[in-house]
Amino acid sequence: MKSRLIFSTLAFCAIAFATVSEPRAEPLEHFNSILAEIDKQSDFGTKDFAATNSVVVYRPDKAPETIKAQVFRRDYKSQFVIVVLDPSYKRGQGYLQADENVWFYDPESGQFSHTNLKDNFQDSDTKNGDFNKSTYAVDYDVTAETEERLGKYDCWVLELAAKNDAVAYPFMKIWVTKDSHLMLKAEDYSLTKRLMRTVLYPSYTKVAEHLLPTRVIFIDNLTQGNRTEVTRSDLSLSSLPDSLFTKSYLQRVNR
Amino acid sequence: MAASMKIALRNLSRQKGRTSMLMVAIGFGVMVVTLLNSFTAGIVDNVQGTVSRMLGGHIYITGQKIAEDGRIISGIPEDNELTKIIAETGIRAEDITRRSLANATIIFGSNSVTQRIEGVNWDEEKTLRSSLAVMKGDLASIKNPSSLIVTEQVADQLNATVGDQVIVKLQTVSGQQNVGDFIIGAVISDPGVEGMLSAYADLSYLNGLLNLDPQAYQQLSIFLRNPGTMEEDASRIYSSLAALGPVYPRDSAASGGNNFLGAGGPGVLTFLRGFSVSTLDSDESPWQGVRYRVTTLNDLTTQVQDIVSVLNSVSFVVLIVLMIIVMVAITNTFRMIVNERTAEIGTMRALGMQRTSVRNSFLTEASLLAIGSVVAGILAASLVSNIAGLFTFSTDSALYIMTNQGRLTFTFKQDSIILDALLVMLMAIGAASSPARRAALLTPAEALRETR
Repeated sequence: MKSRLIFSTLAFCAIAFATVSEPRAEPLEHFNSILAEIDKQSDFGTKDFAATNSVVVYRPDKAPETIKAQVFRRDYKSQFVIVVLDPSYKRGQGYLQADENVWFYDPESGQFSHTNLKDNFQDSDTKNGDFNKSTYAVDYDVTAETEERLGKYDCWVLELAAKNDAVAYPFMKIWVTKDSHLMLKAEDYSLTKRLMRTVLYPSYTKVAEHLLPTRVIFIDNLTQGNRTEVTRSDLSLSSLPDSLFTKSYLQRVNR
Repeated sequence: MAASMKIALRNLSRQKGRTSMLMVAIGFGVMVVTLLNSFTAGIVDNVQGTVSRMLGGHIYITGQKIAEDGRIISGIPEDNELTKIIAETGIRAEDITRRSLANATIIFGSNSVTQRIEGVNWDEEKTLRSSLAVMKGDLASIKNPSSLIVTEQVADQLNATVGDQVIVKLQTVSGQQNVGDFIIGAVISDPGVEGMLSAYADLSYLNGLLNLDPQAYQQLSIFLRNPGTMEEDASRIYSSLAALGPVYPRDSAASGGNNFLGAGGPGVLTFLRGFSVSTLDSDESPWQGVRYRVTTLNDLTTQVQDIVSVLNSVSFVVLIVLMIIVMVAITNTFRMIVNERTAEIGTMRALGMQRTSVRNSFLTEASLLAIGSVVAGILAASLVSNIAGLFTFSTDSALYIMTNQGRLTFTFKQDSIILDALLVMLMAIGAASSPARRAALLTPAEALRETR
């Protein structure tokens, strides 16, 4: 009995080791290129990007709150500006990104305060960085892959581990359609590998050559009932004035 | 002089009712001002005492270094160097504490609260342990590394109690999301301002979640034996640190800077927001090694001190207004006294008493009146403050932070009392000087003729 147990354990270890150490250079490269493709969809390069975002925050025992915000992006300079349009008591609040730093402007006090891409946008389940372009290929390695059918779509399920400690989530799992390489679902994990957030991408639209999600659902897996839905509209790639990506713009915008 | 004193005392005792009324009027003014001054001084002492216990000391040292990728990370990696510097400055420290800080979200079911959590070394933190007012549970629970001590308000908002397992969501020192499990070990009372007091956890357990070494820390705090030397001691530490490497200028210690103490301006609430990752501002120069920042309790309680300055100014204005009213009363009373005593003055002058002696007797009378009133006023203030100290404020009260464990305290400052007493005496003498001069100028013949 004892020898059988030892044999079983050794056999299990051997199989596990073989699975982990199995050379998979080609498939992994393939999956890394999928990450690059996903990133390319959200990177507008030398073009500017603007969109109106409706952020609906659901909290248990509270009426949903809708925050309307205008987002302007200039990806080649790693800049974005977000101006809150609604509700009225938040109107004029704004965010300005300059690299890793994000400045939050409060028109009530007329003061800027520091925040960052990893902080939550307002009191929602979205991060400031969720309004930015994605950088999965730069920040993550694919550590495992499986196949799964999500609704009517055949997907790759890719497990990602951060290459650096600069990203908000050290571990992720993403569901990518096999044919068009569109991300349909993502799970964000903490450093202790606890599921923190699930993100769903139920609908996409095409803007020039980019396929962009028009509706994104963020589900907080730690706090029961917390959910945020972001709907994008008025998507545009028209060029924007330089003066828009400045602190003075935020100060002037709703004066 | 002795004669003037004798005459003044005799005259004061002759009209006991009038003297008493004047003393009550002046003494009341002195009492009000003394109470106001001692009350505001008590508020400063209590707020500073509470905040110093909350933050683990009177002087706080924090450090930042620039990571390879340009991000600014908070932490003090070399404890030996810093401890040596503090020892060399020769400051008299009651206690030195080392803490890590996290601006976290505590989650219980569908309830969540944003709260600063401080990782503390319970073996070192005897002052903290003795100052925490435990409402539920037991501080013995801190033996469990995953034990979390929360305030009553936080427990209420979470709808959780001792023994409940909560989830804590926080960012590591490099800004990554992390989650840990804690068990509520004890519920403590919050000193007045809701959520102002941090939650407390085991240092090494919190460090694990912050992705720091178990013995690392982010803030070193020094409890001084004499908080009065706070600024002087902070300057000495600052000079020693500045001689070794980069430091933040002392005048920007509490002003936020590049998000070092959190966003916003100075103040204890800003300080409580803790650290977050950032990069250099475009106008900021990079540095090598750890850049230290020295902050004092005074830097963080400037808003309280501003309020106290305003209250002190108000009490001074009250004193002046009251004294002007009393001066008018003294002037009128002494005019009346001069009229009543014209014959007496004429007789004394006829017997050879000099003009200056007549004037001095009136001024001495006013001085004695003022001294008696000041003493009575201070005694009354002391009595009122003792009675007020009998009342206790509940921990729910917004005034609780201004009290000493729920009781109002009045700190009588010697210099302030002496200054007020001198002012009252000068004003009383000034008010009596005009009638005294008129009495001194009376000629004996005229004085005796007028009364006839």
